[in-house]
Amino acid sequence: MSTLICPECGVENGSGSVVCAACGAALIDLSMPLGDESAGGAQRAEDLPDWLDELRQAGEKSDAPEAEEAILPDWLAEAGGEEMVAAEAPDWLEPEKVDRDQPSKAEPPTAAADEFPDWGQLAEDDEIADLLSALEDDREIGGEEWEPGELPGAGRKADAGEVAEPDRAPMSWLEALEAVEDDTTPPDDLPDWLATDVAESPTEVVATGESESEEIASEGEPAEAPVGDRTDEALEEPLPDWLAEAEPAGETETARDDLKPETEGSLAAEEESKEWFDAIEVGMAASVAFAGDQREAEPPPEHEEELPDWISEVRQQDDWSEGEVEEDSFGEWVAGHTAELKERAVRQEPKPQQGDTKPLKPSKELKGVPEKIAGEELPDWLADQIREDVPMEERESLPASELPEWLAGMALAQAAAADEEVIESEGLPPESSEEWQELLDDLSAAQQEEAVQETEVEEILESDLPLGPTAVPEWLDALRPYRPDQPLTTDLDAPLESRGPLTGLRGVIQIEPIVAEPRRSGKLPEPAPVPDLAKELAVLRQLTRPEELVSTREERIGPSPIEDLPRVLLSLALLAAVLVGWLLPSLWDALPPLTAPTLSSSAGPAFTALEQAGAGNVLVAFDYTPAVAGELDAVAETLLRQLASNGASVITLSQMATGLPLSERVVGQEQGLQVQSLGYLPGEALGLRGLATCLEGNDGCETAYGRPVDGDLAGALGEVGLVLVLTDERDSLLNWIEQVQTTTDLPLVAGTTQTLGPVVAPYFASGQLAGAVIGVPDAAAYERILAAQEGAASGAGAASDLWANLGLAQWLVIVSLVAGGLYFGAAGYSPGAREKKGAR
Amino acid sequence: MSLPESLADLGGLLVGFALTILVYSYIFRDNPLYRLAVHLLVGVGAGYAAVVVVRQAILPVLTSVVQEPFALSSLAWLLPLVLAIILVLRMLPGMNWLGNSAMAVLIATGASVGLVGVITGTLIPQITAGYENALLGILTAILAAFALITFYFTGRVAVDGHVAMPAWYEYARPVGQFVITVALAGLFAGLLNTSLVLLSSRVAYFIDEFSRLLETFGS
Repeated sequence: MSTLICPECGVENGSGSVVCAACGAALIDLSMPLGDESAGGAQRAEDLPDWLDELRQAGEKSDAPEAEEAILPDWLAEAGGEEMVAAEAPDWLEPEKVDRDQPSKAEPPTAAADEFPDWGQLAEDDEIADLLSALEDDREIGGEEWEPGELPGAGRKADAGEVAEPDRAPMSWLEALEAVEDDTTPPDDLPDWLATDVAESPTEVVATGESESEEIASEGEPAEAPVGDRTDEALEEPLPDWLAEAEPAGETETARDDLKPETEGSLAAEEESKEWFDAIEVGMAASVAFAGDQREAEPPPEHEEELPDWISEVRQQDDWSEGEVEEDSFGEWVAGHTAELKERAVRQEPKPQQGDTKPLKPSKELKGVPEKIAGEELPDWLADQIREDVPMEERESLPASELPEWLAGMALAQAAAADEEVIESEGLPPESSEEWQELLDDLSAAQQEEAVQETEVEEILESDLPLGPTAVPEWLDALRPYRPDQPLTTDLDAPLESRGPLTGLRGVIQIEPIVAEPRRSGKLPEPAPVPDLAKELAVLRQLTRPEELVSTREERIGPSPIEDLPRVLLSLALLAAVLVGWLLPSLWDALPPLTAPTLSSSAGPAFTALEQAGAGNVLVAFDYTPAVAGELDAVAETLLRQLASNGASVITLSQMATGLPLSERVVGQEQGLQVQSLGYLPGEALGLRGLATCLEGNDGCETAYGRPVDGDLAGALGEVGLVLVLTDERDSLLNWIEQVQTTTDLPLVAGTTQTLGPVVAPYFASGQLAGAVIGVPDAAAYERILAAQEGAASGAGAASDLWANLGLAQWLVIVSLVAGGLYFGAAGYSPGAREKKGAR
Repeated sequence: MSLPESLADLGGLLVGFALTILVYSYIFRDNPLYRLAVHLLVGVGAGYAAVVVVRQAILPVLTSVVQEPFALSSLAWLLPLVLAIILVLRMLPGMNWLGNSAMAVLIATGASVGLVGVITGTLIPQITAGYENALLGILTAILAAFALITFYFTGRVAVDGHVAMPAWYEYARPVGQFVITVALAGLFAGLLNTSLVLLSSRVAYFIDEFSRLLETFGS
């Protein structure tokens, strides 16, 4: 009896053990001594059963392929592909099967071939011969030698073409057979990733089976019952011996009884082959029913009995994914696997030991499949071949038991190293079985509790019922801002908000007042001035200096109150001089005026112009304001006095609103003066231009500067022979000269203030002004001329009085001017004034 | 003169005298009393001007238009009336652009009329005016030229950055400054005489008025 030595703890275990009974580590069967490949191969050849040995021999016989035509089982044909089923069916399997029933191997090959269905005959003898020869040749493809049981495609998957691909299935199968006999290969069950692959493969089987069924029907096969019916019938048919041997004991006892061996005559063999074919066909239908959507329609228990163990387990895993299997299927898988290994050990030994073996479940076997094949694991090379089709992530998650031998060794070594680390850090694991049992009990209890919770959650989720009320944890209940069943409590003592959108609410959290408080920012350290840049730095500081607040209060400009004293004294002195001139006329004699009033160069022509106007119409413009009425009123009275004495008719107007009352007052003082008033004349230059247009018309104008003019006034305007302008403004005088005199060529006489004298002189010199009476001096002289003309003793009048009373004031002004000139002149040449002037 | 009239005159005289004193308070610098008097003068003057304009400029026109709306003279006022209304719209923030058009017409017309008047009334007559003394005319022209040179500020920038004026500028500028100083002195003398006359006339006014009132109340 072979033993398995645990790589972890070194304890010997039985040959059927999968895990170490002491430490639970995966075991490696060390009963098979490691030797060279040939020796191992020879030993494996010796260990092979007869039927497998013959099978190998038949595979080597390429000259008589016609004698071994058979049909590959459907589940095996699926692995080889559709073409394999049709053309490359393992015909050599048939004699091998027959040989197990008939050791004489006397079955005529033609008989077996004749009984094949038409679709089975599609594989001609020549084609089979070619296929076998190709299989032989494939041994040497790529310089690779391979044993009959090995798959050449494993080493040349890349260049495996249409021919090599179908070979993979039968060779895998053979490899599986060898792997069964080879004890050095650890008994691995079908891994999950392969289960997925196989679970998908039945779809192809469905298609293949359906197509084959159609072909069979079309080739004139006897009418076939539905799959389910045929399954029942097939179960009643006797099976071949080799297939009968594959049948497990137990539930398939009835079928096994029917499969009695027939060892006489070709007829029996022929009949047996037919029956076997029927059985295979039934198995194929069972696989179809197992894999496709018809699985639910078919009775699965009956067909599951025909499936090999690994397919059954695949289905179990598939069902597991649907939640129909137990949660602890892994334990079952381990238990089942251990049982299989033990059974295998029993078959290898003449006397099986009780307790080490466990009969296989009938549901995990497949009818029509050799017992040594059904339920066995895939060989390593086939596992590796399939694993290459598995995604990397799935491959990485493979359990150690599904890894190949060499990789499992590495994994075990790594696991051993990890365990040592754990032991060093956490201590040794429990040694006694009782402690292990306690741990397992705790684990199972925890798993059961978790499973119960998951089941409850799933039931709640699937129930579509609203979540019912449940107890809220205290910590969560403490987070409630308020309770709905309790009224909101407000602090009546809190201040009531009186402004803003929250008016009327109490307890409003006020804005942090410190936010609005100004804060003094930190002062940056002043940079060290660079000598060359000191000036630029000063300018920069000046520019960056915040603007100083500009006071709107008017700053004192000029001298201080003490410095204002001379001005005040001078003003008071001037006022006093004027008063003395008016209140003490006797002083007039003592202080006569500087000069006697004489006519200026322009006043004489003015007198002449007025005399020439005679009794005609004279247009008099009062373009001055009350501010200068003290001087111009005297001039106006003098000129109007002359006009009145001539009997002229006066038309008054004014471009200033305040000039109208002045004109009325002055005109009203003259007796016998005919006066007409045009009133206010707006528009300045434009108004004067319009007035000039009206003055040009011989027949007068109906409107003057937009205002309707009555008939008398219109006629008077047309007969104006002189224009007298009384003004103190330069613009007014120029407008009269430029717009009226230039346009109408009427004589223009100006009566102005002394301030406007320099302006009048050029126009009088150019002849544009017929004359000008400039200020009080000219008016006083004019009065004297008028008085002389009228025969009066003196030219008493307003202008003469003003001029007479200005004597003392004029002397005071002269003295003040001289004194001031001397003072400021001397101060200007003083050292302080020079320094001040130099500073500016 | 009756007593009520005398009292009315006395009231007016006192108000006038007080305002005169307020204005003359400017001797002691700018003060609120002076400003009060000035503001009263300006306000009353503007109000009086407004009344005069309405009575003597606007109402006569509107009266004539209303009396004869379809007369040719009245229709002639249509365009000025529209322009006047548009000018009033300048006071509205959203319609001031309409008033700008009326203002443009007003300014353009006034400027054109003023320009023509300056050319025909001042420039040409002053140039073509024949002086009795030719030498005086030439001298006047030369002095006027020197006065204009005084306001010549354009020079060439030298290499060192200084502005270099022409060489003749250094000699012409003092002559021009002298001419301007003499002219301003003449204007100042005339202003001083006018001021003295106004002060004297105002003092004489109050002396006469108070003397008359005293005679009235005394009699």
